[in-house]
Amino acid sequence: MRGLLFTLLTFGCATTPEPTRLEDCAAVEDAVVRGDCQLKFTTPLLEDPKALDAALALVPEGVERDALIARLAVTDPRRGARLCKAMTTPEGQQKCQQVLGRPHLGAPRKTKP
Amino acid sequence: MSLALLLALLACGAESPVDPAGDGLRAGGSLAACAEVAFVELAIPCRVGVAAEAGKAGDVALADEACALVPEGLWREECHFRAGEELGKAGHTDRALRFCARAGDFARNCVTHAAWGLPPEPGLSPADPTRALAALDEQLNIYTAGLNGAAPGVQGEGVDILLSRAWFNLYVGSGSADPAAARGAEGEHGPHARTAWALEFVRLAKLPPDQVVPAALAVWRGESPAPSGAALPPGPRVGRHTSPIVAEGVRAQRHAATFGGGVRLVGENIEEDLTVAVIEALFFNEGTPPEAFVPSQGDPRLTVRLTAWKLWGLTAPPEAVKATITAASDPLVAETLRLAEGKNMQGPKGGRRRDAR
Repeated sequence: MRGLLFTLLTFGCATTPEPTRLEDCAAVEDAVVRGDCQLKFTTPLLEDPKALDAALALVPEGVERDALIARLAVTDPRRGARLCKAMTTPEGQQKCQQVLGRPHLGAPRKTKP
Repeated sequence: MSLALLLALLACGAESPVDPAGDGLRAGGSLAACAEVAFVELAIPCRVGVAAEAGKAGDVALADEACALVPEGLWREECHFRAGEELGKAGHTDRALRFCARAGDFARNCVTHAAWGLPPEPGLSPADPTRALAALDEQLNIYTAGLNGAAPGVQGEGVDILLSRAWFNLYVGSGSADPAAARGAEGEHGPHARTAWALEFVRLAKLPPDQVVPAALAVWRGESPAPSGAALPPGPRVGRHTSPIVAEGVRAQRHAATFGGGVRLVGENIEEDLTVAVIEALFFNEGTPPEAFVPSQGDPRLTVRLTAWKLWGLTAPPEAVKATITAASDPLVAETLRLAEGKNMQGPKGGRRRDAR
């Protein structure tokens, strides 16, 4: 019984197996879970721009990818803000222009975060 | 246990938003809308945007509430920065500074943006020096109080920037280069008063560059009448400016904030300081050629000489600057030119020429 409860709470309502790589996220039906899945696999790549660019190329262009980029930029503005240029939708570009693309956000921090 | 299972199974029926990505990117306008954002990272810029809008509207309570919902650290500081600069632009100086003081690493940027967005105080004019001086003194108290509690160094630097803006607002574009108010400026006000007066003098006098310094000194001393002319219409005052250029060898020398976030050297006495201010005012005037700074490069006073080299280094052809750096026998001149070279206005980056509102 405990095992069943753990499985349900861990994997929630997913009917697909738990993704083990970014490409698998596309099969996740729930849009929020899918977005979190994409973020989970791309966040560690923030320190490796080439790998991150390659990973983002696997996500189809559009609002979902722009939201992922915006989330990465918020998570780490110093490394993520450069990705703003890759946004393709008007809402993504606007978010970048208004909030994420401010140059000082990309400057090294003097105080601890 | 069975209840927990039932709840877990029921949760499977809960629906996620259809377009959480689009909703998250588009969300804004209210804290309620931000609360609906499914992705916590996108709720942050949403709340920062609400704080900025609240600042624009002068709604301090909402800006405070929005920023309090943003996680501590970089994004909360950014939230205070956005609210502070917008409050400043809307003319709510004291409230703007309270936000800037909480902007952490961004406090200086915040004060600079808030200050250079500050609109002129209605009804103040160089023609009524008594009233102008009293109002500017009162503003100094507001600035000092508003930045109380800011990070070390921010209060002093912030007050300097704000005073610079306050005097700029009084003189520049006023149509009057009557020096009475600037002459009456004491203490911290002095250099800023002279900077602003010099800007308006240069604008109105319309003299060839080689005649500007002696003419300005004559007007200041009361030996010739102050020039006057048409006031500029309300709106941004634009001119050539640069970020701070301070050679290591003069770091201990007093500097004063200038338009748009720059600094200038302060002279050892009033006439020396006025000379520096007038040369800097020539630079603000975009039509001034680099040759205009050459006569002052041999001035015996260090502040005048270095100012002239700095401004020449910013405006002369890059190849001429490079050659002069190589040939310079004075290391202080060479260092100043090297710093100016990086911001040269004829170089590929072109320098900054606008936005001194």
